Amino acid sequence: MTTDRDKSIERLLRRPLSSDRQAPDHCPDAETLAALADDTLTAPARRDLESHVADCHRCQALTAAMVRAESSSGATADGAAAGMPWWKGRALKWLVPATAAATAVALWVAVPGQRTPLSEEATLESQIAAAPPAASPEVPRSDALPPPADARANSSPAREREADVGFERAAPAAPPASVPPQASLKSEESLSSKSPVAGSLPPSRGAPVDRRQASAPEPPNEIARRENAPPQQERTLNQPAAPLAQARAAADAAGARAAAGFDVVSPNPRIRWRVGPGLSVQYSADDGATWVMQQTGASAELIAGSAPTPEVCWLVGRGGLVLRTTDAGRQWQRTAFPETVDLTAVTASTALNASVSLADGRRFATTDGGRTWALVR
Amino acid sequence: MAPQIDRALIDELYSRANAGRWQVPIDHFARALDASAAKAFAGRAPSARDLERYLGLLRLEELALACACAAGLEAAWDHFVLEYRPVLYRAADALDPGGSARELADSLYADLFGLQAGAASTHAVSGFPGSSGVEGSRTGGERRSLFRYFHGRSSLATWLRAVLAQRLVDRARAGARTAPLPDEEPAAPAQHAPDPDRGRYLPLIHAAFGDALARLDPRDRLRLRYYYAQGLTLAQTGRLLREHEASVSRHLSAARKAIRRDVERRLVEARLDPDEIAQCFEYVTEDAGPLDLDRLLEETPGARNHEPNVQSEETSARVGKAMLVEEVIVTKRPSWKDRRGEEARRGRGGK
Repeated sequence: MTTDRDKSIERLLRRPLSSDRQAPDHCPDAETLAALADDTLTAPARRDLESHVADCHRCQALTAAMVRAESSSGATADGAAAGMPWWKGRALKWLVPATAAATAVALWVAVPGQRTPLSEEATLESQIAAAPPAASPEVPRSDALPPPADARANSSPAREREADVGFERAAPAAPPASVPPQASLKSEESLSSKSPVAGSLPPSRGAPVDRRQASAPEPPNEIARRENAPPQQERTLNQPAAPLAQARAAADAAGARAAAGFDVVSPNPRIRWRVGPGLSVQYSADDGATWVMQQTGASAELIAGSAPTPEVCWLVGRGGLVLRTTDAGRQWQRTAFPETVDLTAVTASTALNASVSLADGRRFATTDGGRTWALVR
Repeated sequence: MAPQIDRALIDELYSRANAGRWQVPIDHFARALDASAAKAFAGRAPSARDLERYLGLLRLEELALACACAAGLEAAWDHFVLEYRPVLYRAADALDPGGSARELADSLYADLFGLQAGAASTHAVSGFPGSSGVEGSRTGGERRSLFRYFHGRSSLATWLRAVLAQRLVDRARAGARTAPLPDEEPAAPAQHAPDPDRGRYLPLIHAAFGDALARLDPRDRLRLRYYYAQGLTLAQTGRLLREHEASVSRHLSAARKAIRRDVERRLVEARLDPDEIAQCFEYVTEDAGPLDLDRLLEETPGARNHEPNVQSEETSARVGKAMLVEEVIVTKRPSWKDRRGEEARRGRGGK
């Protein structure tokens, strides 16, 4: 009886309200809703806005669409922890690898004959595999909240998985094919054809733009599909199997490192950068006693970094993101990279020379500060 | 009247925004700061300290980029295309994997550049106050870019997603005013044999439900709507409400229980016996139509004369205008802006 009544209430809650009296004229504009999503409004303004959205179907749909788009495009690298205080997120994220690392070291010391050090990637991978499932106790949802079954028929675990994969629910049953390069170019052409001012097109026709358009953006589904592909499919990327396995281990380790956040220490140990979790970059010139937030303009999760001098720092991340500063972070520059594959590591020796590792095992190097990149065999 | 920003502060912010990278004229940047402050403070006169704090928290680099793009500076556009157009397209693909949102993204891109001249393609800028159909256009040699509505309070990527989502939602609403959005597909109403009790019980429980919903705090109501009606995950709901998933789950559970308690109490007050109450809930399980609270409450005897008890009156006073009252009794509700203005006036009066 109790469960049936709860289900009835949930059924009522799931129904759209046909009376939606909020006219768009009374709705806040997109800029204000974006500020709401980024949590930059003052508390009273936020409260007022939430009161409006609570009763406005249009604004509910709009904000819901925003967060879906964000989740799906991976804009929030740490979306699951976005709502929690930063210290909790950071503490939890460090706790798992730290505990696993301590366990691994203890085992390595305690077990004789195991003196051959594992590769860094393999060690990290095993640590992650052996780590306790720290995330699971955070969400006591199955007990606390019956899921909305109904048409969507999502069980609690299903919705948790859905939270992981972003927009799976709204996507059609068959995964959408990867966007062909022509599609982007076609969009460009359609824009051009629409333009009544042919001579004043957006400056999107330049070489760097075309290069980027030809290879990006890759849908998350496509990335996931490729990462989960069987070995023979991976080998079609002209890579031998063993390096690929190593690359995958390195990518996994890099992903874990990025999720936890990491420090990039310059040769002068007092000068360091703290990266993440997510897109944030902080700088310290006093060995971490104080930190200053730096604006890098990063649009994807940062995974690794290298600081060959106290003034120079390279950061790499998902989707071929390469950032570089030559003035201790006062100014960060995005460097064009020819691939949109996740970059898992970077080793820089100067402001001009650096090499990066891709998630698929390849390596690229530059000798001109990232202006051009060459595949390293 | 826009708050006055000290010139030295503008210079400092200009430097922090690295606006020189795009060669944005400082006057352009100052105007963008003015517009941002004017909007945020909504006619109020902030103290210099508040103003400085507000401006210091803006996304200055992205505001400078928007200024530069609005001015049509090529280097800025190169950067925007490299960094943000993929964001826009990814958001479009996420919002509508079928591809139709890409058209909106392209249209938005053109508006950002200020291409759609009024004569050739008049395009009202959805959701932007004061848009008159020539926004995002280039008239009389002056570029009218959509970028001027970006005020740096959010990231540029979030703003782009918001504008795109707004256009998509508005298009869906315009296309089928009563049709559900793609992710809201209620099951077809079941066919029922004539049942005299059904016509009596369903309005009763719907009215009780509406009343219970109205007594909730707006934030609780919003949480419920996001999770149940919009179908967001706990994580996504938490992201919007700045709560952890576990908190979202806990609050949802509590709100649902409160609604059930209220509904049962209202049905008891309506002199239904336990069997009839059980029957009410059963009818809800079978029924799948949209809730039209206006109509239901019109048809529910005594619904308009419902006298809220002391507790509900207090609750209503505390949480503001309750939804039921707004939906049924109040013919003209104060808009969000009205409420902001009212609060500002109260604040001034208090001082």
